[in-house]
Amino acid sequence: MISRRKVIKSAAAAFAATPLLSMPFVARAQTAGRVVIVGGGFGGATAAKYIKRRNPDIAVTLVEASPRFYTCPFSNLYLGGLRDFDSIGHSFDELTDTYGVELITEWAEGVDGDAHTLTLASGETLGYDKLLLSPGIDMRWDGIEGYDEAAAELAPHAWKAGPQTELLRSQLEAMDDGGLFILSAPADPFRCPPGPYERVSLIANYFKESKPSSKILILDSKDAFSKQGLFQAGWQELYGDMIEWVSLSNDGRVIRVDAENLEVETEFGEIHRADVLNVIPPQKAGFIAEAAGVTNEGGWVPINPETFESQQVSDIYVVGDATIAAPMPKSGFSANAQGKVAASAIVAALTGEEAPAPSWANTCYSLIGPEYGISVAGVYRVENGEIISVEGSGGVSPAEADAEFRAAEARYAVGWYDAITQDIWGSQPA
Amino acid sequence: MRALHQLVVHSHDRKRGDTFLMPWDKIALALAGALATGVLMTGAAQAQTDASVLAGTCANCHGTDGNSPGAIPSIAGLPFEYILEQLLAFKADEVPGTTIMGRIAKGYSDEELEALALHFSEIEE
Ligand SMILES: Cc1cc2nc3c(=O)[nH]c(=O)nc-3n(C[C@H](O)[C@H](O)[C@H](O)COP(=O)(O)OP(=O)(O)OC[C@H]3O[C@@H](n4cnc5c(N)ncnc54)[C@H](O)[C@@H]3O)c2cc1C
Repeated sequence: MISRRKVIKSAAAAFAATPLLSMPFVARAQTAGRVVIVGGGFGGATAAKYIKRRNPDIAVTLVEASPRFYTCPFSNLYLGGLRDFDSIGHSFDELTDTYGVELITEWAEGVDGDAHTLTLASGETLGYDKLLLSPGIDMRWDGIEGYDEAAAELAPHAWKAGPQTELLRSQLEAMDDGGLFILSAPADPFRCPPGPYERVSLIANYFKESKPSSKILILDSKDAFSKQGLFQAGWQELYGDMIEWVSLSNDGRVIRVDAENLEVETEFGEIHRADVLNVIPPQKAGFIAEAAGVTNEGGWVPINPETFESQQVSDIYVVGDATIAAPMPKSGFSANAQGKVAASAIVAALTGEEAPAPSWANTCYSLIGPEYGISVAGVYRVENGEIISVEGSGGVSPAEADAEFRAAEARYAVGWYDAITQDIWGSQPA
Repeated sequence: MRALHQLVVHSHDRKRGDTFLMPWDKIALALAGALATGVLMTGAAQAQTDASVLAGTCANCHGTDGNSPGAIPSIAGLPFEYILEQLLAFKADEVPGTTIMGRIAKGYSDEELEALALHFSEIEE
């Protein structure tokens, strides 16, 4: 057999030994159809599992570049020294062993929407009836002058969990007490609206315990951020004046990065020098979405909200951060909820039925401290062809709440992580 | 369908603090009948509501099929009456100490909460 970099895993041993190319439509799938999914993260792995749960006779192939998935959710706890890195890693074993999903550990390179094929980095081609993309985000390396991939090795973004996250943690550990941590936060829309603010909170918690004279500066390209009132009150309560937030209007927007010297320059020319510099640049839909021709001029994917099928190319469904799904935030929770709706729409389409009415919810927990949690929730529907937030539902945690309430939300944040990682990858709590 | 609509009128009439006067076993039967095909019509012009689609996002916190692995309560296999009573009470802000379920339950009609209660009550723990 030709040597191939990819690893094929499947419940059916026969799968593993047979080159895919020669069997684009495996026997059991001849009637039920074939779905190829790119991305084994929050959206893609959910869709794979829930398609199989709805109809095990549909052949599902999951193409994911990494052998193991590390979650951005709770990577801030790792950065704050509250978890080890292993505890945020998840395997695809449940998908392959319990649900019979075929896993291909490889990078997807291109899509031909007319021919209904996906091309892998090896050059191999997979045929599909329905393609689902959940590639997450890519950084816009042209978004901030001086901030390219090489710069990110000195001033990490850590906005995809992996080596970048470990790099940032090691820099924080190496920093002397009394140092300055700067985080540059992007304008909307971006992955995880409360993420930057949870990150500084848990880094502040680490500093408070280990490097109490250190300071944190957030340079923001926005004038307002998610759960702002709750975050700022919590910062004051737990960390005094350790954290300073500079809004867009107060010259918070970083326009140039000098990663060698850990310096950033703002719009009106002020230079800030950091001891540890975390630049979260502007973002766009992951590469494969653009390659498939499903992105718009803004770099994100317009979808039909009833099904999450692309508005631009039929039989390609896109979920998660890559999509334009506001008012749903770009969160792992949303990606999971969208993955389930797309799964039911795909299963219905393959059996010639109408897709059931969609319904989504989202909850983003953030930890301001290990025992201080806050949340924002929403319930979403489609009305007149648009996603809307159901009137009267959702919202943020109350501004006035006692320590017990904040502690309960911190416990539920962990409960949420345990539940969603079980729901997606079949993981057990760490 | 008729039985279901009557049921919804009942639950809308329910006032804060009232004890439950609805005959739960009958309601469960009516719902089971209405849901025999697995669907629930939410209105003439709308797409079909599928209880398993509604239930999809519950799993994000309560675990797949409502079997939670962690700090958030499991809801799989609880009695229909109990789940529905809780959901309606969350929606009406009548459960002291609630953190988030009030905000979420308000996003669903009473009819949908009933469909969800039935869905989770029928799942094995
Ligand atoms: C610091 C931080 C904290 C966060 N905290 C939370 C939180 O508490 N709660 C919450 O709900 N959300 C949180 N998020 C957001 C969450 O991480 C994202 O919204 C979620 O990961 C989006 O899911 P996705 O499926 O779109 O993309 P991802 O989960 O990123 O999955 C994309 C996958 O696709 C793969 N892939 C991409 N392109 C290809 C290709 N061409 N070929 C093969 N494989 C490919 C990638 O390897 C990756 O595994 C946080 C994010 C950050 C950065």
